[in-house]
Amino acid sequence: MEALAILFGACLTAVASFGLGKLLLGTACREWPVRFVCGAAVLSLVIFLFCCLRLVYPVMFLLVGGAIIGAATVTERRAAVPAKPRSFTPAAPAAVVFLSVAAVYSVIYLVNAMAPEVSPDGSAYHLSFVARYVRDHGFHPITWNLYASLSGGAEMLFLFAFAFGRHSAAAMVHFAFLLALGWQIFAYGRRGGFPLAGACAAVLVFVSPVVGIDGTTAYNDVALAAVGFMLFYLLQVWSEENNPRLLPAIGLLAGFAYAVKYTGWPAAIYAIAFVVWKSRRWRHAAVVVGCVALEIVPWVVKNWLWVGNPAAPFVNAVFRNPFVTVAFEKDYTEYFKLYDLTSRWQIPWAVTVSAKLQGLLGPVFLLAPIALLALRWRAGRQLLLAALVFGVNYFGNIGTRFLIPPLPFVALAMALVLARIPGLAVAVALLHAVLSWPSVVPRYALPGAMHIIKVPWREALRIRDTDHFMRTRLAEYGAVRLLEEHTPPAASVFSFRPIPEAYTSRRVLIEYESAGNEMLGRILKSAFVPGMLPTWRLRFDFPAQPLTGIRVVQTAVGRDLWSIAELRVLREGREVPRKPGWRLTADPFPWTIPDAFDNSPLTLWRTGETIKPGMYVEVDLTEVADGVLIEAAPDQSQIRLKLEGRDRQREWHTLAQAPKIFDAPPPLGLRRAAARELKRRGVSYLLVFDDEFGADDFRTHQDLWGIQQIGEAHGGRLYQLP
Amino acid sequence: MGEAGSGTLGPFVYMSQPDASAYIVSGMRANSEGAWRWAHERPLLRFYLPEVGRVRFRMDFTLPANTFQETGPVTLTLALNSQVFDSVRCDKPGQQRYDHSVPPELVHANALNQVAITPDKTAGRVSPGERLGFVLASAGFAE
Repeated sequence: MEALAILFGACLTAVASFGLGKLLLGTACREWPVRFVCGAAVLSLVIFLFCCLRLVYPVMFLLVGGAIIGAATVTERRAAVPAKPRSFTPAAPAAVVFLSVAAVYSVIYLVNAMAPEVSPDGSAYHLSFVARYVRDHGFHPITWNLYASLSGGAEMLFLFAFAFGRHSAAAMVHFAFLLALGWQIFAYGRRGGFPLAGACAAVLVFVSPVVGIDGTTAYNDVALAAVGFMLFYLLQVWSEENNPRLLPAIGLLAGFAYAVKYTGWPAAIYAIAFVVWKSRRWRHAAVVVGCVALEIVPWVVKNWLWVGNPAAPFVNAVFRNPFVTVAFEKDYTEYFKLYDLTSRWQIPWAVTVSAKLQGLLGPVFLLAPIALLALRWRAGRQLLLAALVFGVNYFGNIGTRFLIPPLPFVALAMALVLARIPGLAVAVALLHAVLSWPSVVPRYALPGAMHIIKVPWREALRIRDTDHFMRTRLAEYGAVRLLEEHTPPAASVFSFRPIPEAYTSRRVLIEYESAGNEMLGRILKSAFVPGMLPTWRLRFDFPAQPLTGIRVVQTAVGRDLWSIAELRVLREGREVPRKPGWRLTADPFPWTIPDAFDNSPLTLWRTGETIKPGMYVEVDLTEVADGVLIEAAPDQSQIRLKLEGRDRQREWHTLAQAPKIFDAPPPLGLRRAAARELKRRGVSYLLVFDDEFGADDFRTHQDLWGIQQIGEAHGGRLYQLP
Repeated sequence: MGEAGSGTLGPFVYMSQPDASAYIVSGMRANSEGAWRWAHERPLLRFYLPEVGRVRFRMDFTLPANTFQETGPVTLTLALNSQVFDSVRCDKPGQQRYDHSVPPELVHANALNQVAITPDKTAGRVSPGERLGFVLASAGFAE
């Protein structure tokens, strides 16, 4: 039954998409991959609307799917225009090359797509949100996970399938994009009069190890590549036929590229520029722009409304918000520019052979530079321009997956050149098919390379229990089972590392996934990590005077983040009692400034970005004072502070150029206080893995933390907070 | 959580703290010399302990070479609220850290706790007129 449900969910999504594509394109384009992908763009929008209206129910999807399929069928019958006869003959050598290789790989891919979803990102977040939207029948603000702010055009389609067939149905939908992409590359070659090049390029893309693993799991890179290629194809058709019926589809696809993945944004510029350049008619451009906006605006508005940043989780320095810090974004994006490589010159080998960047295209792509020779031909120039457009973002994240969108264009340009010697083109394609074979890849790639490993047909058909498969193939799956077995459904769990959240209904707060989660981790570490203990004291002394405000100002530039655990106003050595009328402000990150005035050494205000002059914390008050004491952790040695005061005439003056700095002993009971603070913030459980920093402290000092271990699996320990 | 704030005692003291003298009952020099203070024959300190679970007693101290020359190896006997809970033998001069768990039954929660750190030998030649035991930098309770 489960296998049937998977097939049903995936097929309903694919057929409904195809139906919508038919309705959208009419007879302007009859090729099934184009119709499928264009329809998927529309279906994704429809599901977005359902999510907004909180109408995500299988029965609603059944009704919608049925209505779309019915309408498409009726419309097709009414149109009843005979299709153009095809010049293609199945026995053509190009077809033999493509179909024979594609058929074998398709079986492998189909089985892997149907098998339990075990991809890291698919199980950690792509499908965790999908599962959550299904459970909650629609969208709701998710501010504790930055990935929830990424555009989710493909996830909307996954959601449609997931409602019936769960995780594997979503992966099957992605596989449908892979099939569409492969076929359309082939079809493009036929249409352009270079069928052998098209067939070889289709093989180069379709069997590429990274494409295979990505396109058979709940990722979205292959979907983006398919959208990009269909867009390119439709633009070529439109420029030849000038059929205005294609323009809405072009606009929708261009916008859908962004909706599928942020890195697809150049598609919109490409499509608009192409149409403007070729048609010079603003009405045509307006249609495209309008349709682009239709796909992009919903995601932008959703983010603006819920996290105050239309481009979340990026551009936080412009759209400041309490959910993602500027410092985190900087570190995060910096890492993806080089991963663990030491030079960009290592990229070609890493993405083609060693798989050091998480996956591999296959060694034959070391020949990619020959694609430049295709500049001799118009088609080659068009392809290389598209490769440039869809690859323009690559150096922002050099993971191999991010080369999938430009890959079809590069492969076609390569094949155009290789096909000058037909035997060579076929040989390269077949060599690629051999080198990409699942059991061959480990012979040259690094261990752990991201590629299809085997053909788990029993698990795919669900005639073998999938639990063992999940536990052996998906790291931290055992931890998820812990949560399911030992915590109530509404529990909130804090973890320092991501886990496959798609398999649990619990709210899992991963340390790096939001500023709030970061603070939870910081609170825990402040209780036992020496450099983070709140033992630093910075004391400003000045002549006693009446003040209407004080302001602590940062004067240094550095890589440290400035934080304050407590700020106390003093008079004659004693703290001036805080009053409800005091008004607290800070720049940057004003949202947590009350944490510096709550008498808890563990909670703190933090800049969320590296220090620079002019950052400040300000208190409006009316008091006589002669000192200010800041309690903080010593992990901010680069900070330089001065104190300003505002007199009764509301003029600001410098009260002290620098504080006296000294250490205070760490208070007792910090661990227990930290555990209580997490509980106060709604967290009931901690999930800690044995290889994580501090894991020993939680395990051996459970009494000091006041926590209790309630489960253990595969190196993960689940603790209940007091 | 307890902390030595304005006018209150905490569970731990650095001899550099302005209020360090408040933690000293007897047996130490009247003033700190920067970050440390000389201990005499029977130094006695006091700390306020809140309601806590198990705690450790921790101190950073030094046996200076010039006093060690006179005393040789020194054994420190530690007592909490008049009950001996440990002794430690120091065979070499120099900086040392003592860090040892304290029997929970000796701890008075939410109250002052007195800790005696008694050296078995003291030096009299270095500073005529007083017996010098060791140099204390910090002491108190930690988790």
